[in-house]
Amino acid sequence: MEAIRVENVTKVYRLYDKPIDRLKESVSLTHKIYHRPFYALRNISFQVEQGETVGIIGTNGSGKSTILKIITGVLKPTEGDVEVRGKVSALLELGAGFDMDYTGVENIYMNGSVMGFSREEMDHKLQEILEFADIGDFVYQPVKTYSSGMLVRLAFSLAISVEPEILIIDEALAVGDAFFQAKCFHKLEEIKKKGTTILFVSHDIVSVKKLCARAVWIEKGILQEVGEAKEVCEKYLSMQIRKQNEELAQLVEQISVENTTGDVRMGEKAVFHAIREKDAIEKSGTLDGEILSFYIRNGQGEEVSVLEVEKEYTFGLLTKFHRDLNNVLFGFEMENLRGVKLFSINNFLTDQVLKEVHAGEYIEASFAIRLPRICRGEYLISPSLAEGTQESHVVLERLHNYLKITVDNGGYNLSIIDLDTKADFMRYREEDLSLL
Amino acid sequence: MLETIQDIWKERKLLIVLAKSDFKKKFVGSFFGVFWMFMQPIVNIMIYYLVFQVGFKSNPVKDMPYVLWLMPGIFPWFFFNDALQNGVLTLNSYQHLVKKMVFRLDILPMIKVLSSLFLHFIFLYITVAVYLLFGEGPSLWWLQGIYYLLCNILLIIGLTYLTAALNVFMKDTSQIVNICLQFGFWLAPIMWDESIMPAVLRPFLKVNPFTYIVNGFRDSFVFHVGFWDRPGESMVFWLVTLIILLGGVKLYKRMEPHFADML
Repeated sequence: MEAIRVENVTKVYRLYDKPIDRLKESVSLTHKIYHRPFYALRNISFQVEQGETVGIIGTNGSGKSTILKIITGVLKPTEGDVEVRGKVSALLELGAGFDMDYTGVENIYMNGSVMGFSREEMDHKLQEILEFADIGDFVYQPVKTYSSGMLVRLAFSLAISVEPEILIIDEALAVGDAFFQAKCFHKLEEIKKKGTTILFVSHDIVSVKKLCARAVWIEKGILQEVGEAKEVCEKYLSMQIRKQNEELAQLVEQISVENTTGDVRMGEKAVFHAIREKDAIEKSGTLDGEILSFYIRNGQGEEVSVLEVEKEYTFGLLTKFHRDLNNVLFGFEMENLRGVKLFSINNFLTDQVLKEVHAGEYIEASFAIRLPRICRGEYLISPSLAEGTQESHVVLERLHNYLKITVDNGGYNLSIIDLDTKADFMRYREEDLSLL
Repeated sequence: MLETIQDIWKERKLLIVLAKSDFKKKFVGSFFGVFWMFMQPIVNIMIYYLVFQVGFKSNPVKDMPYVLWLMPGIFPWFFFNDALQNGVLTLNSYQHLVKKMVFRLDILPMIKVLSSLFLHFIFLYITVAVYLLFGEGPSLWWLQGIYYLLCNILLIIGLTYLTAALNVFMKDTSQIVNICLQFGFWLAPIMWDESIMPAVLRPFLKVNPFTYIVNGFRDSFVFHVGFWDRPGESMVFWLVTLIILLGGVKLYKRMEPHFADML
């Protein structure tokens, strides 16, 4: 049975230049229009079955929270219908529905009565709530003194304590510390087993994949995809990667590419270091192809993790394919610790696309690079394997921030890139010089 | 209007819980708590007593202490003043309910009205107690106070819905309300008797609905006159009050969908 049905929901925000215009429009006898429309959601439809756990993903400002608020009933849709069957408990943003001047315990009772529980019923729940929130004597302090972590602890404990049939969680958990997050996810699994419908919004793809069976992807207010969580998340991730690549591709366009085809030579006997602790690495992809090894070697063929600028290095991947594939892309990206991407290299950009590979094949791809004069420090490298073109591809496997390397630069290191240049001086006499 | 009444009835339990906590909240964090609640009005009455009776030697009613005349007039005003000052800020102070919880928003202004009403009840008890202490009454006329209390409550509800809704869109509303309250206090015959006003101006006084309430309470406690003896004034009062009440609630309902977006 359906627990939630969202049908053709459109939410238009009216943007007014001045707050008073809103009042003028509402009471205007001539129905004069003072606003400009802004579409936060356009024609969104999806269903959530009873007992299902569904994730809603999308970039910031895509309308995820808006659709949740509409489902919860805090906001009204401009058009369309929302049908919700069952008692809803929602954790919208931080400190949902808390009165900042009251203590934690007082807020528990207040929230309880707003949700329709008597004082006696809340008395029974109190102990459980306090135990789960685990914020000690702070529960007797006004909520305004809480840290954001404590707020979310209390809010989450409260939201689950009322035994909702539908639990809605918006992003909030990200604030808690790792320990509490783990506890929450454990609790969510438990609630899930009891048959509670859970709607979970996050841009943390890892937890959506872990927790949810299905996912809804909304982008700029438009429904992109509804389906199996893993699949939707993959598509979402590769959209993000594609977007980043598009930005990079514009820069790359100016670079002339010499090679035209990629041909594969036959290798001799070889030894590689397998990818370390593969399970611990954040990875994504369909896994039709797999990265077995990634290395950086210096001119002498030794594997290194400390690199010097203006020296030659070979970056390479060893891969295995589980399916016949066309147009395979091997590559990697390098970013600094602040997440600024320095470069991204793959065999599409070098115009050496592998037309086809076969199931069971092992292929090594390596790129010879002269390390540019980048600032000294630590950098992260993410190797990836994909199928398709630069503009549109499916990620087979991507090991996010797999390798940390140290770059050594004897120069000044004032900026990301050190340029190699020389100054030139000229001296003039005043009579020789005319300034226009 | 009907829908609002239904909502208020449906959520009456919640409303009482919220009103109680709103009442308590005024004193949360202060050391003497409830003490301040009584202090302010008592200090006010003492000042008026000193200035008007001891200073100006005014004594509107012969052979009755000034305080007995003052109390039935000034306590309804304290209620009116307190409820409106807080009521205009209803939506701002309950933002968390507007934006983050599923809630029948049309009951919110009632919280502030009820929370002020609790205090008013206490002062009405005090009035009765002081009258008995001075050896006045008890009298059946006092029961007429219930009718005027009802009048006061309806007037307050209307004004609270009206100003609370307006304040979301015009932050200036609360300032304007405060200034109007200052004027209102002296324009209604609370501190002075109507008889000192020139006869020409008296009709204008009657348009102020609060005049009706002050006079009504005094009629019940001091002069023992029934509201049926003032048919004209009663009609004007009900006309003005119903317009404010219906208009206020209607405006509030009309603006309700915007509240969550605006706060």
